[in-house]
Amino acid sequence: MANARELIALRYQFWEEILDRKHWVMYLQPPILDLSELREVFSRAQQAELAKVIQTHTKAFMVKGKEPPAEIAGAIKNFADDIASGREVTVRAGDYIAVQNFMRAQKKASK
Amino acid sequence: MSNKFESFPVLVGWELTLACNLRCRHCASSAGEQRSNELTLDEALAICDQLPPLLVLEVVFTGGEPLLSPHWEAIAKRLRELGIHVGVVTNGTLITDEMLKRMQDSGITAMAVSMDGLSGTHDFIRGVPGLHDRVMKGIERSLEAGFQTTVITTVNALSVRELSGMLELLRGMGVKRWQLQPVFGFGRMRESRQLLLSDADYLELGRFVRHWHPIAAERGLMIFPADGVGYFSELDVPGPRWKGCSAGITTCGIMSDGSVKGCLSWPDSLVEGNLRANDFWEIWFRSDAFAYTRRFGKEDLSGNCLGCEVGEECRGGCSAMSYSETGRFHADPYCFRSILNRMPSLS
Repeated sequence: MANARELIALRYQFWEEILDRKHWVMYLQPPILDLSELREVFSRAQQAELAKVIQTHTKAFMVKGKEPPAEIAGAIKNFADDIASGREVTVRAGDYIAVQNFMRAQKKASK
Repeated sequence: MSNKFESFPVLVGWELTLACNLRCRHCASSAGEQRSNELTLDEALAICDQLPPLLVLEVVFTGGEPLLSPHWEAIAKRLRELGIHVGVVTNGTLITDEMLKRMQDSGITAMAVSMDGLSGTHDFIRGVPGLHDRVMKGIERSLEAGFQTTVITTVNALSVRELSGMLELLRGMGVKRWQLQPVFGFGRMRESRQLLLSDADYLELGRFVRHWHPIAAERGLMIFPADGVGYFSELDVPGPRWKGCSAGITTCGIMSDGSVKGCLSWPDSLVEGNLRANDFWEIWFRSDAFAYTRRFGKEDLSGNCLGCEVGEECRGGCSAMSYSETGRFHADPYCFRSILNRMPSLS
């Protein structure tokens, strides 16, 4: 029966998408022009909650000068930097992982 | 390094069941009976929900024969709801019009069907007389139904001499995609090692692919050499450059009991955790996870790959092939470059 390696065959069927996605996940640089688009992109990946966390803390930092939680401070400041300098907002893999870990820790703590 | 590991399992192979209606001589999983503790539907659906944060793009059902699992439709539907592509690797015995309809209704649009040679060889490997004809009919049905269908050939010492005949056969059937992969010596193949490819056989496979790849493409059939066909030699075909085994880096496998491995072809001793006990995210990002492939240095190369000038980029070829033949990673003996260097007479 199907050898486990055979899944590679199907990988090729989505090869272009996978390359795109690899690019996205390695560097996480979807062309996001503002935070509302960020929400949209992550919503498509069933991750509206993630977009909300990023949006909330980035806005709080930029508008009210509120320091983000230490675990995601680097990530939030990277987003803020992008916005402040007029660059496309890019979600770097490390920042994405940091925010996910932050959310997971919060969920655990609230249980 | 692993603490700062920043990649995701974009492609997940999921062994839905180890049950299989065939007992193929080359089966690396020694599939046949289901595992005693396979995941329940609820457990499987809970795993599906853990995949989006890990940025999984595609899940491929495998087995055993995945279509024997009572849960494949529900799991496929859930994955599609989550925006994840679903493909199936099947032995082709269960492809009926009704099955194709159920697959379409579940959101599955791609499948790969195994065909391991012309009729005599295929039936010998699979152990069922007349099976080749049934599989051919299944492939034709799937093409008519509009599936993206790939034929997979696990090339062995018998079928390597039938590749030209298969090419004509597949073209005649209207197949557009054909993957060729060398057999390796795990599982049931341990009892049939005479079917393993010799160096000369392996070169013959490489030459076939190199020669026919562009010609077949012009005629509408894409030939895809799998991970075990390479590396860095005159026999390379155009395509993504080999960057080393992706297991545990951008791909991984879920076993039917919830265990997670970098590659489903790896032995069970290399399980990284079980999704019944641990969250997928925790397994994937654990600091020492998947060290076999993630933590690689030139000093890890051994055997055939020791001292190879492209070893750092190649990382020693296909991990599963390397492990099956040498008991180590980063030492894949099936390598055109290495064989040609060792035995220039074969060049």
